[in-house]
Amino acid sequence: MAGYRTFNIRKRISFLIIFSIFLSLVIMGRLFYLQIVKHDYYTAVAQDQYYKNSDLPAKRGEIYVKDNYADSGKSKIAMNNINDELFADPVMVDNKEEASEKISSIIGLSKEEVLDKLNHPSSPRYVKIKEGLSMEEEAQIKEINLNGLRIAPRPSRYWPEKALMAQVIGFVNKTGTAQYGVEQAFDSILKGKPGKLKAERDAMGTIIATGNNVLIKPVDGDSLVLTIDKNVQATTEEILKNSVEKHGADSGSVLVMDPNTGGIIAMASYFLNEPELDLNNYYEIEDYRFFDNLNLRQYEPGSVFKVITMAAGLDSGKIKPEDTFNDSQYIVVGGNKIYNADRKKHGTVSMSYILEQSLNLGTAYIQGKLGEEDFFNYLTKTFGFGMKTGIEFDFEDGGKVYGPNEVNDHTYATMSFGQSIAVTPLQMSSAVSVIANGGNLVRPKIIESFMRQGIKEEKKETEIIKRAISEEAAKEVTKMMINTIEKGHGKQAKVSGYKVAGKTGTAQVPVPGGYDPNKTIGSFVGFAPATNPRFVIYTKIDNPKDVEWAESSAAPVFHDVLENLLMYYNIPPDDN
Amino acid sequence: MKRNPKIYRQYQRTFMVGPISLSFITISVVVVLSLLYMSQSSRLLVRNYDFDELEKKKAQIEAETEKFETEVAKLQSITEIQKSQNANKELEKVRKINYLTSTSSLALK
Repeated sequence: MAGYRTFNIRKRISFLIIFSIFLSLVIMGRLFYLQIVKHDYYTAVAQDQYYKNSDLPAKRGEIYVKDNYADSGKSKIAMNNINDELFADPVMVDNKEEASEKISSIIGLSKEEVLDKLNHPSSPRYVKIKEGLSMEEEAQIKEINLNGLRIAPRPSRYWPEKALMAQVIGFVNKTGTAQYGVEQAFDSILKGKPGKLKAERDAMGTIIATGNNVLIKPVDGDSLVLTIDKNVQATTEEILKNSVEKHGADSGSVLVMDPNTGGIIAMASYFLNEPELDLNNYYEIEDYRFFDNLNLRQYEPGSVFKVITMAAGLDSGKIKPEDTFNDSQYIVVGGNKIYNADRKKHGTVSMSYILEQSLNLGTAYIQGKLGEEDFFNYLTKTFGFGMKTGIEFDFEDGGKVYGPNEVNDHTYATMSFGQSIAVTPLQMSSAVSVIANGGNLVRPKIIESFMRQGIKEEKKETEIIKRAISEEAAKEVTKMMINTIEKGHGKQAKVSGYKVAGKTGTAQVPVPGGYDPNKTIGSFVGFAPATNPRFVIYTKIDNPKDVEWAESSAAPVFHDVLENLLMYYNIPPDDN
Repeated sequence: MKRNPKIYRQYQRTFMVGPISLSFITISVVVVLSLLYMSQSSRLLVRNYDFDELEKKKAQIEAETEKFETEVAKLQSITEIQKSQNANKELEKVRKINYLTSTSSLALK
């Protein structure tokens, strides 16, 4: 019996031991599975809890323009801003009526509007009341200290000059996409590179400095300084707007360029009845056509082009300044007649007289002397027509110059006085700069300098592409252009006390099958002071309703813009 | 010569530590070191929070600076100047500059 009992106890102990061993094996097996087999998975889950990835946004570069009245010589035209947004958690607002009354008196919305937002939120715990709070509004909201009201900072872009040079600057929308102008053209430089932070955080979300953190610092965008002067631009825009409205024109444009550096000093476009293009309220603009920069759009220039034909003729040596031409009222080229605009016979005339009186026959004669091949080469290879100027904007028209075998002789002859050829005001300004600066083709530019990381200024050098025409040829054309102002059709452009060189152009508007008999485009190109040119100015008025000739539409705009420039830059007279 | 046992005694010291005492000492040293380490870590963590607070303050100041810069730019804008000119009539339109011309080296009166 004692033996049996001993055996029973042993059995139970053995069973317990085996069971314990089995349980241990199960636990160890489970631990092995969790810690070894599923190691990577649980490590990832754990890291996900205490490691957080954040994007670190880069600051967008700012855009400056020149400003003679600012101490630093420049001021901001596009800058970064913190836009404070007032929002509410409707559930937390104690008394919506009372809250609406207090808020509305501060932020300038009606009580009903605010109450409606609180009662009909876009989502249960969030409704935007107003964005873009001023500093005073923010201080007052904080003072009233209402439950459920919050102010959140939102980074945004701000244009302090609102609509000034809107077509040149463009804008950046709320998603950060740059559209039009400098903002779009230089987006890759302005936007910088965002960074990343992978950091260990505690339960409250605070970064643990001693944690295993990985930081890629953001690289802020570079800032730009433009060649444009803010004050010149503002006055130019006002002059242009007044002229377009006065003449009931469809639109107009003005370009002011430094002929020696190619720097654009002002670049204005205006459409009749254009709404105010306040860049800060770009989302309210319905028709983005108004953002088109007319200085970059091609058109048939008309008689302003004659200065180019004259320069080509003189530089080639095929004509001399002292040569004469017999104007017999019309010529026949390629079986078609070409007349002067006044349909008169002028008899024997000098080369200067051709420009003074804007004789189509005279420039057709010069083109004939050059020949189509040489004429084409002068237009394209020498003066750069038929191709983009290479200004930093990518969205300029290239214009159109027909090759010698593309069109008939008559069409080629009309190209000499600016018909059957398409150019942009920028191309014309660049070409006339060749005459103004003594013969060099300079690449136009809108960037004065880059500010790397907002600090180090890196100037953009002037690019002289080539010597286009001789200094003598440039001087002779200058003299003729001065005569045009003094004795010819450009008297309205003259500024008393200064030698001004210029040329008018009244072009017909092409339509399918010919030209519109009721529409014209008035242009004027010139530079001053002619003895030491500082500015090339190109003005264009599209389809003025009350006057026919450029002398009455574009020339007065040139005069007003030039007069302002001479005063602003304190340039003494040169007409002694 | 025999030494005076009253004034000079030679001791043979043998310091004997038993296993329990040894364990106790070891555990004490480990505890003290652990406490030291924990206090250092805590101090570091507290500094971490201070650092974080300072970072937030710095960001706040930078944001306020940006806002002030925006206000300055707005007030210096041509639109604002024209608005204040319409209200205060303090500014005068620029008049044409009269340049003096003379061949004399003396300044004109």
